[in-house]
Amino acid sequence: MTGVRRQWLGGSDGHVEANGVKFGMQDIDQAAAQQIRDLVYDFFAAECDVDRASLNDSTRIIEELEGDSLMFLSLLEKIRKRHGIGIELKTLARHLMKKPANTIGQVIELSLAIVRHGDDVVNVEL
Amino acid sequence: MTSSTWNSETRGLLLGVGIDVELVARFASLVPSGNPLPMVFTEVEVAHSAVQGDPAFALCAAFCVKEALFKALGGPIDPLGCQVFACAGGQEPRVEIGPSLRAEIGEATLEVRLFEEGGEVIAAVILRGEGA
Repeated sequence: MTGVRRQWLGGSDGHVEANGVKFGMQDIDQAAAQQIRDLVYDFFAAECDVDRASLNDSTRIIEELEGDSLMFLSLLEKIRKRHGIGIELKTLARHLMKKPANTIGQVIELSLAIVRHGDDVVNVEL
Repeated sequence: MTSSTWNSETRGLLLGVGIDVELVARFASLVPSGNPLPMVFTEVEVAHSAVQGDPAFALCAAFCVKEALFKALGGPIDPLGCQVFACAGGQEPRVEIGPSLRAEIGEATLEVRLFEEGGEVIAAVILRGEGA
């Protein structure tokens, strides 16, 4: 897990418990954030068979790349495996209903939030 | 695409309808040595798909049904809260609803249909409740 420093604040399972709610958090350094950024760009370039140089943070995933939920879930699985995070899809879907990720930049922002906050991402303002 | 006709066999107040379409070929690359999407498929579903003549179809159908269910309910579900066992060849899928999802849909009944057409799977879910 290069570049990602687990910054758990207590608990043998790596979580902090407050008011009966468990929170976990990873602090991400700049190199790790760049890795996630590269992963997202490489993923969409490969999946959508486009030149990576033609993509930017404003590229709209559905309209311009014909992206869909399967594509998003495959990306999420790569991130989940690489960073060892556990997140429930229902939690994430709830977050996405409040704050959709329509562009590559927004997916990167969401990916970083998922790695940082896991299931608690639903309470995070992006 | 040719036309497909489905006459619903259930009665009751219509609570929701969800439809999803996916290309089976997209799931061929996911046909696993392990679980390709552990947030979506249970280990039992993956094991079921592995022994089918067309494992990609089974995964594709399970994915479609879960997406259609999400749409029928109009809000997020835990995809692991139900298990979908499908096989190619026109048989209806077997759908098992787990306790967490059952708690969300209550007494509502689910009707699930799968269509195969030109390399695509189309899943339709109708959710009905009391009344009418």
